[in-house]
Amino acid sequence: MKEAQTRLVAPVQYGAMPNLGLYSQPDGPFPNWSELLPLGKIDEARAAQEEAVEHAVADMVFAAAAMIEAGADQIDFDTVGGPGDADFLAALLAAERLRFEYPDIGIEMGMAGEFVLGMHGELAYGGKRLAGLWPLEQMKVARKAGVTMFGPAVNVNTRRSQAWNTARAITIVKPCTAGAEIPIHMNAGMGVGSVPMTPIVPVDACSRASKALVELLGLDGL
Amino acid sequence: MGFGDPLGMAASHALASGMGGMRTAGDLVARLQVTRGMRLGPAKKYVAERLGVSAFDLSDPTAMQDVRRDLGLGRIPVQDLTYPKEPSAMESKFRIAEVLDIPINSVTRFRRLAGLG
Repeated sequence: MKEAQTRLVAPVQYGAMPNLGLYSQPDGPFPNWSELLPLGKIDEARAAQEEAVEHAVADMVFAAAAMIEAGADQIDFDTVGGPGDADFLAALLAAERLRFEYPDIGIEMGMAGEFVLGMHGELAYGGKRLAGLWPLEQMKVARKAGVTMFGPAVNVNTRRSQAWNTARAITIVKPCTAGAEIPIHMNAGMGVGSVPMTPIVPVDACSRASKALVELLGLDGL
Repeated sequence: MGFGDPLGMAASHALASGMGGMRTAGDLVARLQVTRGMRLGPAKKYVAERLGVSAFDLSDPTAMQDVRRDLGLGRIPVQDLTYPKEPSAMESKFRIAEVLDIPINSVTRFRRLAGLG
C-alpha cells in the first residue's frame, strides 16, 4: 500500500470481505451454525455467530488499521452480509471502531445482496434489528456506524431477462438513493446490479445496465 | 474492447457512465466523496469552485488537462508528456490536498514520517 501510494495520484483503497463463514468449523474455531440450525440447535447457532463476530471485528480492525497506517485513502468492506445478519453486524462494528480511531478516513460498505438474511435473527445495531433490512435501512445503519460511502447490491435472477433485472434493481434501490445523505456506489458487475451472471460480461449488456442505473437512480458512482 | 472481452465490464462502465478519471477531474471528485462523504452534485460543485472552472469542465479532458498541468494536480504519464520539473505522484497529492483543502491520508503520513511537521 505504501509503495502504491508513492506512485499513484488517484485514491487507492483497501477492500476485503468480512466473510464470517471462515470463523466456523472446519475452517475456523467456532461451531458451524449452518450445521446447528438444521438440527434445531438455535441457541447454540446464535452463540457461535456471536463469538465469531467478536473475532471478525478484531481481525478487520487489525488489517484495516495497518492499511490506513500505510496510507490507504479508504477502507472498503465488500460483499457485507453474505452469510447473514451477524456478518453485517461485524462489519458495522469494525467501521464504528475505525471511524473512532481515524476520523478522516474514508469507509465504504458494499453489500452482498438486497436483503439481509436472518441467520441469527436477533442481532441489532443502534437498536435496529439487522435481519430483513433492505437497502434504504441498510444505508442508514451503515451511516450511523461511520460509513462514508454505501454500495447496495441486488442479485440477478438468471431465469429472467436483463430488462427485467434492471427494472427490479432500480425499483429496490430507488428509495436508498432518494434518501441518501452519503454517496451511493451501487454494485454492478457479474451477477449483481442487472449485469449478467458471467465472468466475461458482454459489453452491450453492461453498458445498458450502467447507463440505466446511473440515469434513473442518480447514483454517485458504481 | 469487444463482445466478451475480459476487460469489457470495466471499460463499459467507464465509457457509459464514468467521469473520465484522471483524464478529467474524476479522481478529484472521488476524493470529496471519500474524505467528506459528499454526494456527486455537491462534490462536483465544490471541486469546480476550488479549481475556478465550471462543473461541465470537470468532465472535459481537454479543459482539465490544462488545469491539472497548471496547478500540478498530476496527469497520466503514458498519455501526456511529462518533464523533470513537473510533480511526481506524491508531490501532486500534496498539491491536491492544498488546492481542495482536504486531508489526504498518504500526504499526512508522508509529512509526519519525513519530519515536515
